[in-house]
Amino acid sequence: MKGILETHDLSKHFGGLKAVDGVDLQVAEGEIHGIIGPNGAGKTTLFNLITGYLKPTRGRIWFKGRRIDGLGPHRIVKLGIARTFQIVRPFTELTVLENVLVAWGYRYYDTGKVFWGRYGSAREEGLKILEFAGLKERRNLPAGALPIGLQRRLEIARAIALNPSLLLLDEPAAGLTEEEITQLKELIRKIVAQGLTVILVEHRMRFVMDICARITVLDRGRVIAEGQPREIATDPKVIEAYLGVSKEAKGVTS
Amino acid sequence: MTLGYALTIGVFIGIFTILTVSLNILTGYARQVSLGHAAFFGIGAYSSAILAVKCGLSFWAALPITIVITALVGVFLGLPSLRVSHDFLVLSTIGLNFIVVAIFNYFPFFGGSMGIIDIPMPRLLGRPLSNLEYFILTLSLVFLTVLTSYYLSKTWGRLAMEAMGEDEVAAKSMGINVPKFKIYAFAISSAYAGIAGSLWAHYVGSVFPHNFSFDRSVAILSMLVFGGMGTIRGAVFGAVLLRLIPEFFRFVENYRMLIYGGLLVLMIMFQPMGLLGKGSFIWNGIESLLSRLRSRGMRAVE
Repeated sequence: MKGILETHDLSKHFGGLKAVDGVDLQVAEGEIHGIIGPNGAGKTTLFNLITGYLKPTRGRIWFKGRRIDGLGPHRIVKLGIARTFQIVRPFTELTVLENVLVAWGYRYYDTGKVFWGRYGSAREEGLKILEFAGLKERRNLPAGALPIGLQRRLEIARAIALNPSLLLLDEPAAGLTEEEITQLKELIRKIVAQGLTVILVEHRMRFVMDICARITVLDRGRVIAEGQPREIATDPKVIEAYLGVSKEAKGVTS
Repeated sequence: MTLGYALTIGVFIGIFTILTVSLNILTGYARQVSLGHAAFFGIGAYSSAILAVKCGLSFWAALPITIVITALVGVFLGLPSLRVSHDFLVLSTIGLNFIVVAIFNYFPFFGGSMGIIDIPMPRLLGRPLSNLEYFILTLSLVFLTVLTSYYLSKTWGRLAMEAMGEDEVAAKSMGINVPKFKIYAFAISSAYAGIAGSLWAHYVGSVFPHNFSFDRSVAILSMLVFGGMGTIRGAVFGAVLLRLIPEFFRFVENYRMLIYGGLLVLMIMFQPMGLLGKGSFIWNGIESLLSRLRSRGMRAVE
């Protein structure tokens, strides 16, 4: 079977900078797929391409066999791809529950119900999602009052409310304590158990190695390795990209 | 103060209440700060005036047409908001206000600086409305505005506008078509301002370009900021209070703009949510008082 998400020769150039350069990616349905790479490898740019925030310079993207490159973010959301952000973006002045309801409303925003249906009518559904994400007790707090760990959780809750089949998490563990990371792992596993596919960009290696079924390694916009965590951890190209290799060492090996 | 004079003040308070409630949708919910709201007001007034004087339509026929016209013009004048935001949007709304006033001034169709005069009072049962009846008409339209915008504040559309107003990037990831909702906000806000314009034109009996100039936009925004942006109660309160104060302190009249400007600065520095806005001193006090009364009532029942 083909993957739920596939890219072919996907590229994004900013002037002379090749942020993403000829990436072929295949993500299988129901798996947790990690994308790692040193700073500036093009991970977030790749996310922005998949979610429609950036238009590719070249290449194609298929989601469930359908071309999605060139579509705007709000249309891609409706097809079933949800995302979170590297730097959290909760709606700080809305309550935690309202944040989730904003996402729930995607069902109505382009219908005749937009200025007719009341958002309060989805309260129960919103609370169910908050319960799933462990945020129910804080439903009435303004989202801006939550600590960073819970704001990340809220972003995931919002994304789930969009009823996606593919969830893209951009550095979900950044800024979290060890305990919070353990909880995050549980949450992500719960999400996958519901039948979703997850792609995550992450810097915390132990977290990625632990949770992902497959990993793609990017360096300077290109895929340099792909495989199961164990293969990736011992791949000399990956070690080189992360740690760098001195000129002398290169001379010796070549 | 005679009754007639009180009714006149009442009509103007009503007109400005409609204006602040309408601006609240655009600036309070969708956070598209506009310093050009008088332009929409003016377009409403001129539409109604032209429909009445040149086309011979009655107020009752002109009002719905005016609402449609101002909504459509709102769509058109909202287009700059798709390209610019924040400070630059404020600047471009100021620019729009000047352009609209200039068009009223220079095109003979709009009567130039002589404006349009002899706009008839609305007629009901074969005679023109009395002052009292016009006041009741105004009050009814204020209620209509408040009730419909209260309903709107409970809908998905309001939630989308607020989300978009706070963070456009995140809003897109929630399936919100940002340009569409900006245009919605401009169109709805402008349509309500059209009602206010129509009421003004038929009550005053004439429209001149300077009635709808930039300082009027400042006044409308001041009322909203003063009362509490983002809430209907704040919009109503701001309009009523800032229209009433000059009536009781006549000497204030000449310094109205100074006071509006000063209030705007003070409010933004010390109470950006306005007197009755979410999280303001006064509203927090009222809310805690209400909850205390409620819990006491509960205990009494038990």
